[in-house]
Amino acid sequence: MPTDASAAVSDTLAQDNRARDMAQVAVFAALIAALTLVPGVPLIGSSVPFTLQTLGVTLAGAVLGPRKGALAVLVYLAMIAVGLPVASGYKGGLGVLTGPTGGYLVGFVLAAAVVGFLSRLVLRRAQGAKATGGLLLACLAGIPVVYAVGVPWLAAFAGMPFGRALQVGALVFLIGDVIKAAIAAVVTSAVARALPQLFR
Amino acid sequence: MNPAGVFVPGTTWLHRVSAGVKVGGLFAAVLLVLLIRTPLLAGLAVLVAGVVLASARIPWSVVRGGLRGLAIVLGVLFLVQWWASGLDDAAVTLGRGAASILLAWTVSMTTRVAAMLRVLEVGLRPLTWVGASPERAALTVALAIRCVPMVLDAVRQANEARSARGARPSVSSLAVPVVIRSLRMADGLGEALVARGQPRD
Repeated sequence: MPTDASAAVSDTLAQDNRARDMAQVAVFAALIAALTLVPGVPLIGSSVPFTLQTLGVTLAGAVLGPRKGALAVLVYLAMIAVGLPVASGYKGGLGVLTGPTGGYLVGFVLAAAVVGFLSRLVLRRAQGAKATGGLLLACLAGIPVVYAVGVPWLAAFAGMPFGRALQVGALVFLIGDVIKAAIAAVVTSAVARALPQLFR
Repeated sequence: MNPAGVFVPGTTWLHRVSAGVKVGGLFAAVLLVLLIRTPLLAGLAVLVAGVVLASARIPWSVVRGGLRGLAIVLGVLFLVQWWASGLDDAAVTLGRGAASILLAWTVSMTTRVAAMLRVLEVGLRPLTWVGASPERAALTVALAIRCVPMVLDAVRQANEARSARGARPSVSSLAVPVVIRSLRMADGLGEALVARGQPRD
């Protein structure tokens, strides 16, 4: 039966695409972990070192798109949950997710989806320098999403007033996060030029 | 990176109990801890959590580093809350946080990553209701774990190529090659999965 055969072929092709999606999701989850483990550049004029974790999260969204980007972050969170020391400061285990900073990790999932959705919009419409500008806006949009979950979580966990939580949980990281969003935008733009077939 | 995760081998009852029971017990314990409203009960919860952790016989050298980090974070939270809403509230928050984190640690340090992956697969079973596959999800996590050293190696290779060219560390000399190498790695991994007929439905 030709219809059965063609149905079987399209089934197999769909399955192959799922395998490729899985591979991309797994590699980007590993990329987020690797960027978290690589020592970040110490913030200029401050002794607070920052990790490149949010760079990895933003890249996952911008390069893979909203669905696979958010899935890559979820897989990264699962790696932390099953006990691999891949959270910032070489921490791991269930305590990281339920701790005071767990909200940021949950916010990362939403941020990757938002960044991914917006950067796909940008890359569909623009090329070159215009695309980089648009991608910068898309990557910056992830920052308030992370804070929107992380800061109230921190405030609730610590029982501190929201304004204070905003100071210690958002303003301290803002400059670093803006720099990392800019890096993610430049990288995504370069990757879109090097591997255009990925973004079709 | 330590490939064994935060797991510490041992033969205590906590090491022997199945991972599913431990994770289930942890969820129940954390729910109970969240109900605590008085400093006395909060202190008791920390004591119980401490006894449970001690019964796992984790070497002191392993626990010490974590305890120091925990003490710093919780100490800051304690001071902020003492200042914001009084000593009693601060003590309750401190006790609840310390107890639930100590218990979560105990579970992670006494359970192998492979056993936790099986718990994850069971925990993800509701995914079948929305048409997704828990086996595929668990396989993706296992693949991601295997990919971490590969991506770290891609970072090292990109850095070596950069210094061989005499280029200074920059976004274009380091970050872009790492991401492109990662995507190529994903292509190879995807083809390898297809060749093996994975993921099976």
